[in-house]
Amino acid sequence: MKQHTMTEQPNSSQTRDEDASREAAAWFARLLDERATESDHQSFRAWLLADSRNAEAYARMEKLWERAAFEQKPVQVSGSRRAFLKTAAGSFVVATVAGYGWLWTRRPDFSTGTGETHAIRLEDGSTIELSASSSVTVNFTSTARRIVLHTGEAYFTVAPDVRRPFVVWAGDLRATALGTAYSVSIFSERTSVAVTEHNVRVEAHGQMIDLSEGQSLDWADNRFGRVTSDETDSRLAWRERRLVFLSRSLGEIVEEINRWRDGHLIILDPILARRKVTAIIDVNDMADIDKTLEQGLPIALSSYTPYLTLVSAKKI
Amino acid sequence: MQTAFSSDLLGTFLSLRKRLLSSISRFVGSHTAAEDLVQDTFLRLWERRERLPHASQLHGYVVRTSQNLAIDFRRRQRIAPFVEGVEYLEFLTDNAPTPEDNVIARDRMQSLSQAIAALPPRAREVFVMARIDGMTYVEIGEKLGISPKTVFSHMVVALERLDGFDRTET
Repeated sequence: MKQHTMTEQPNSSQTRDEDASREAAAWFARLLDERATESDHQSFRAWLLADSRNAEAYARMEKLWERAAFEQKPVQVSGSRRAFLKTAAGSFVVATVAGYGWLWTRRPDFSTGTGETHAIRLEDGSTIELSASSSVTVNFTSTARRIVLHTGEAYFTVAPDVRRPFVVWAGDLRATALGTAYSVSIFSERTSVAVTEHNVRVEAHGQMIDLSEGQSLDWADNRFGRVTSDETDSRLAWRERRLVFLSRSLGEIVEEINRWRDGHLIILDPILARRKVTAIIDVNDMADIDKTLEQGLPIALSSYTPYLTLVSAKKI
Repeated sequence: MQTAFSSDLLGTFLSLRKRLLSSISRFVGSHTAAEDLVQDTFLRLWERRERLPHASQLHGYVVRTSQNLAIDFRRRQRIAPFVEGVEYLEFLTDNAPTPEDNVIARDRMQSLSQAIAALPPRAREVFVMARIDGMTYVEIGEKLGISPKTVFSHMVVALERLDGFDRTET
């Protein structure tokens, strides 16, 4: 850095803060250039150490720069969106947790193992896509189409049939297709429904909520959560063998990953288990899954046996 | 609708993920760092999902954001040894900030946009080309027909004004 740029247009009335600001701007601009030399960097350090206000001003430049990264040129918003979703009769996803033998003592008709997914075509033309470690029982009669989701998560694409409603039972929750595709999932913390096409009626403990396209809903602690509109795609990413977690607790994330990964992950630290994390985990390549997890999540893994792996906070 | 944007974001991001990973890997010379940067790209954009551009521009926006994060990563790597132990600058040597620390209030973002809009035209051009388009001084100079040194001077003006704006705001 040449000295004259630092003392350009000297003005005796300027406060020290303003000087620090201008000098910080000059240093930042200089070091932005990949051609900045080693001696530039050494002079930079000397400047930083000369006055704590310099470092403070420079820190502001870094933060300013970071914030500006997401600036964009303003654009007009128009047009119809998501038209691509409106082609089929409907679909939705439901997720659940183990332990609902009380509903049907029958063994599941279809189930998937760890890391396995499976698509099933039913007699009426509807399809079920089973996520990993998931199981369902199918019970079709002349007046009803009933599915019980025992464990895991399944995505339903429902063939229209007005005489026989299509109902998915998952724990306390009942999701009825109103012409439709949707997904239902059960975890120990919650049962949830996400709708991708048309509407689904969700009922539990005498309460009823109709979800429309793009909406999702959780049932946890015996009550409904908020209806969200921006999570449906992320909740269905497993269909592409990707797990997308948007501000989910690490405990829940680990539980989900256990459905995909051989062996068992355990979090001992309850504070770590409650920590909210946003991440995308690719479960295509299961051979390298532990590396993927350590890179994508703030965790370190230590395996004790092939079956048991402890999860701890990543040390920075 | 804001809600539609965010699901477009996810789809766009997932479709780009592999490509970003390989190009950033090459750029920063580390697969692990590239994994972090790609993940970080998604987190940062997800935090800003209510302010994303229109779907037709989303693709470019995701690519550009990841490139800018990679450029920043390299720049910080160059600087890190020289800010070691300096008060106020610890965050430069830390790993990437957690997304929760990183959420920025909407009105602050807006005021930054306004401050950029209020810069002298050349300073604004230079700032946007360097920051948003990730261009070097040499590239900007060629495009604007000015010397890299002049580009640098415009950059200093832009940064100082934006900093001044920030300080009077808070």
